[in-house]
Amino acid sequence: MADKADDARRFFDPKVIARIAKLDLRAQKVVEGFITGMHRSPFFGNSVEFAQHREYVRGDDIRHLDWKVWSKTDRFYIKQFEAETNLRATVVVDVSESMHYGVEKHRRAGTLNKYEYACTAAACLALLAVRQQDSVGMIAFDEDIRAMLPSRGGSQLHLDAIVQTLNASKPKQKTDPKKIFRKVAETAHSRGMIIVFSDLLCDREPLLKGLEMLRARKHDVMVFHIMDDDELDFPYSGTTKFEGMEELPELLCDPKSLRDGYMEALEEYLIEVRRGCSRMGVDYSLVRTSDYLDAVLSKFLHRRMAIRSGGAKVTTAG
Amino acid sequence: MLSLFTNPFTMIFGALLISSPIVIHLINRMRYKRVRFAAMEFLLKSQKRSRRKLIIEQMILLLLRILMCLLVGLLLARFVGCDKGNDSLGASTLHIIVIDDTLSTSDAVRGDDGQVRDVFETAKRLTADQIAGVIAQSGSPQYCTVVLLSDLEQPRSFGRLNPTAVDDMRTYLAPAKPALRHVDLTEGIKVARAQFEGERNMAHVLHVVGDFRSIDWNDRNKESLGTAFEELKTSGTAVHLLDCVNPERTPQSKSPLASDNLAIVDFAPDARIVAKNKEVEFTVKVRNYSNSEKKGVFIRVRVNGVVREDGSVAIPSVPPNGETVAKINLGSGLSRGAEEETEEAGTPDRFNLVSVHLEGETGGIAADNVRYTVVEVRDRVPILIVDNSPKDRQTKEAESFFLWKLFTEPIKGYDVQLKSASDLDNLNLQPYASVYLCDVPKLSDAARKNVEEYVRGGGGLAFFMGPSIKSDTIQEYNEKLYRKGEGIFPVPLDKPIGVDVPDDKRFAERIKRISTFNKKLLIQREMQSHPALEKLYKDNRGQAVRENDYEKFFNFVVIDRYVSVNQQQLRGGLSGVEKLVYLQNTKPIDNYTKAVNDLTDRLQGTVDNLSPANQKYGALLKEIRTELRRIAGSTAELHVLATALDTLLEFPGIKDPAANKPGLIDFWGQADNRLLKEDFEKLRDEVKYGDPLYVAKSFGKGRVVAFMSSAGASWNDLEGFGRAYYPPLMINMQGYLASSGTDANLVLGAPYDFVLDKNAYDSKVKKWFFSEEIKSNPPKATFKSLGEVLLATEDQSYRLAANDGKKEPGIYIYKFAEKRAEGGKAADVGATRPDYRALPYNVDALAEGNLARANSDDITQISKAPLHTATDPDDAYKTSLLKKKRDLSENPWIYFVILMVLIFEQAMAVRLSFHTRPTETAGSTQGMGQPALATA
Repeated sequence: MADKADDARRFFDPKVIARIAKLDLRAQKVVEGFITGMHRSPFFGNSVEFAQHREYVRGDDIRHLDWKVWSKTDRFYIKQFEAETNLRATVVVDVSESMHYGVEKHRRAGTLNKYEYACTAAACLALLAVRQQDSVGMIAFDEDIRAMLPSRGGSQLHLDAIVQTLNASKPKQKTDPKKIFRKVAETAHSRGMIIVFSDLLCDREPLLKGLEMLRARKHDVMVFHIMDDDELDFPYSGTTKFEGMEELPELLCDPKSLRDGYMEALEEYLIEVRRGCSRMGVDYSLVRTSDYLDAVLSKFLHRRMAIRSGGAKVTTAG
Repeated sequence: MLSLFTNPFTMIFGALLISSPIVIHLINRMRYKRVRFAAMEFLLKSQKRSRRKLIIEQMILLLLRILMCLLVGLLLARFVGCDKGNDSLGASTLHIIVIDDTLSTSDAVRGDDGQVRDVFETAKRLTADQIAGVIAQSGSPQYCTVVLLSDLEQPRSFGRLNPTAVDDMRTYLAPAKPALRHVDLTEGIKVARAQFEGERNMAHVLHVVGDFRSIDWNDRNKESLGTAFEELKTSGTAVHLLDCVNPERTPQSKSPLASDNLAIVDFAPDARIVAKNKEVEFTVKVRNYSNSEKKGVFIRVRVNGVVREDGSVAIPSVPPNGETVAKINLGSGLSRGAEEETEEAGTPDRFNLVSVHLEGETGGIAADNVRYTVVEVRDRVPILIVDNSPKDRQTKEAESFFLWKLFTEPIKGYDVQLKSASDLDNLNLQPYASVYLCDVPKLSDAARKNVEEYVRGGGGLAFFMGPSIKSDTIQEYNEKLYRKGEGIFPVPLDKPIGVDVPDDKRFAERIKRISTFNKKLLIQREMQSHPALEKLYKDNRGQAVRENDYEKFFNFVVIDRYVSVNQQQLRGGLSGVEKLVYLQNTKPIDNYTKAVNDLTDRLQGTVDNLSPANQKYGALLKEIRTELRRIAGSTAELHVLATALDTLLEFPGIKDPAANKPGLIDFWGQADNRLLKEDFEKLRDEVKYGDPLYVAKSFGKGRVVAFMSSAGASWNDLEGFGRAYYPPLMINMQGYLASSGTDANLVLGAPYDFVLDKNAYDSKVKKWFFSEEIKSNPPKATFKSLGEVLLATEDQSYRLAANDGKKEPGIYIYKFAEKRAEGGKAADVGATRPDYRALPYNVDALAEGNLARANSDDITQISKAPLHTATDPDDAYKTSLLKKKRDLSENPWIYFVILMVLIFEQAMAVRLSFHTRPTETAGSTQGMGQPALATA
């Protein structure tokens, strides 16, 4: 059983996914495997799906009266249905230089670096949305918006455009989240879902302000905080000269001696980001580049489902 | 420094190795990986936060690594500095062997092999074989120096010991003989310590080889020896003692047997200058250093090598551990010498070498059986009398008259010279046997200095008071001549007594004194044996006579004027002053009435409770008590009370039973009466003695006396009854003063300084050694020239440190060239006349004659060092010499320390970076199966 299960999940392994050169195929493999393993997806809901009964009160639309119940109980009950939605998702992918940490290392190891991981996850979600007939858009950014595909209905062509755009993006600049998120907010006129894939290696204040801006526009914001294992574990040893990306200075040091301090600073940073996101109602997920994608997607979708069935559910009478 | 390591060069490499962690650290800083890193923000923050901590930790790690290298270096170089208990052993070691070759080591003893050899021979053999031979076997460098106690100035170094050096040592020691002198072991230890201080980079071991006699380790030397050994111990020197005497010490026998020895410990003439062919007397002391009486000890006298049978004496018995004094009288005197010396080959002819030889002693030390002295022979003995009235000389008006007459007319053999005090400024007093200052009120500073140097150098000086001594003069005496005991005058003066009494009253008093039959002068019993008085109480054969034979003349003495001694200071005790003769105590009895009454009351109580056996004393005691009470109530002088108390305490008794006057000496000898007797004696002593009349004191090597009345008749009755007591007293005074300087008893090696006026002497001095050759035929005394030397200049004087008498006993004669003319007259320019001085040197029999051996416990307690014996039964000495020094590798703690340092180093290294922690690998695989990548 275990072998079978492992076999079924082999396409969620970033090492396996990395062997698939084309991003669209990667997403397809992941999503297919993911659907096979899932019993129910929150994206497969029906907009006329029954939700619950409620006693009739004056002013209710009589079209929603459940006559069958009246015939049995001689009392008026209103049938309530889940709100009918048309999801407008926008995947926002960080293509700054820091996302390209460890390119050579990952290439030699046959694993995904942060950028590849982010693109794969973004493509997977785009595919899922397309298959559910929701509209999906894409924005690639670093210091500025480098590529943007507006949300459109789920067609294969649009999905291909998204994938090609992600493939074509070359990280080179530092990140300016505040500016980017402001532009994203301005671009997405109607409420929708903003899914951010970034390592968030930027100043906290503009980052959180940018997210706050998105939330102020009533967007449903999700952040996939993608970090390399090296960044989270800091496994370096021996005298090392660290050359900063995104215009940061270099440092010659003994990494082991700095590891504790590094981990401490990182932890502070993660806590701050997590708290900031939580405060603003941003759905935050810290993702390692070594994490299996199904786990990441599953975790994400289950959380979305929980939100839909919980306080975040929107109920409409009639 | 290098001596601290068995493998010193390894430590040099180790020292270089210490720098390796620093070099490695610098190399590591140059070799590094490059990583392009995104999360630099956290790295920079971490680096900023922990910069100081990191530096400290890095330093600790660096120090730990250096310490590690150091410890390994010490281990490999075999550091021996930690073995303080064996500092003397190990790497480079300097051994100093102090060999006692003093006179006592010439004692011949029979060894276990039956051979008779002296202690020094054994010491030489053990030094070469048991010490040097064993040391040479040591693997580490061992250096050796031999110090002979008699030759401390020339320690002999043999360099690094090897078989050749040991042979050199044997060759060096083979001809050495025991020295004739005594040297304190402390001096040898000081020399050894000085040698050690010159070789601070070596370990130090001191070996003391000798006979370890009790006299060298007794209480007198205990402190100095203990201090010397303590200083050595403090400086880290190991000490070993090796006793060479047979029989050997054992744990059971800590004070083993020693040889018996008879020694002549003193021999001196009664005058250093005698008249030709006049009777001369010598005193010889023989000491028996054994536990058995020595009978029939024969002493032969030689004068200039020739036996003088008339002087030889046989001492019937010398008690065990005691001494006997014998007088040797050369009735026909000494003939050699002349007033004008006829130098034979430039040698002085005035000195006689007189020696005594103890014959018939078997065993013991031979050298202490001979003793030498020197007597200067003149046609007449020059004495100098200084008075204050040149014009009255040789008349009764002169204060010097009676002395001049005494030594000129009845007593022959003296050349009396009369001079004034001013002549003393520039007069060589050395030729005079004695100097008398009669009624000299003042001495110039030059004269005072001259007489002080004369007495200090062995002369005899007498002060007589007289009419010129007044209150202001007394102040001069006290300030310049007494100088709080530092000056030449023996006592502080108070005031003239009786000078204010008018002549009529004085005459009446004289009549009164003469008419009372009691002793006007008093000599304490213990003073009767004083050299200035002893002949008054002995006949011509030296046998004691009754004290009244002489003291009967004291009944008629009238000394009504004198200078009193400061009683306050006298009661406080004057150091070195001997009060030879007291005046009668003529003070009133008033102050003692109560004391007498109290004591006689106690006496009455004793009389009332007499036991039946003591009833016979009752009547006499009552009679004396009644007399005492009567005297106490009278206006009598204190000497009356003293006489009564003398009667009470010492009444000899009347043999006739009818008289009923038994002797009271037995009564006071009873224990019950002891306290009362002591109180009566105390009172008697207080009231008996008046002011001192005649006092004596030693000053330097000479003697000085002071007679508190006049030498003439001005203050006493020398023209009357005084003629009876005065001449004997003065003749003995002259004998006492003339013999000063003869008892210097110079022992070999003793220093003697001549200090001469630079203006009065030439700077050259000629020296001879004057010794006897008793084996030549006929025996004779010969001069051996010791050459000519220049005197050392010191301010206004010349100084000669006479250090010739070191090795050979005999007479050392010095001829100084005096530039002053005789008698203080003006000298011709460039003309000098010889001034001879003779110093007799003898073996130090007092220090070396006693062969008794010290207790082993005392020796080890003082020296805090092991005392070994010749056979060394348990090889402890050899083992301790061969024992290698423990190096660091033999200390288990070093490994523990290295382990701890290693653990800490590893812990720090892991903490700081340099080694991967096991948890890190596990931690890096906590993700989804992707192992951590160590490199970018």
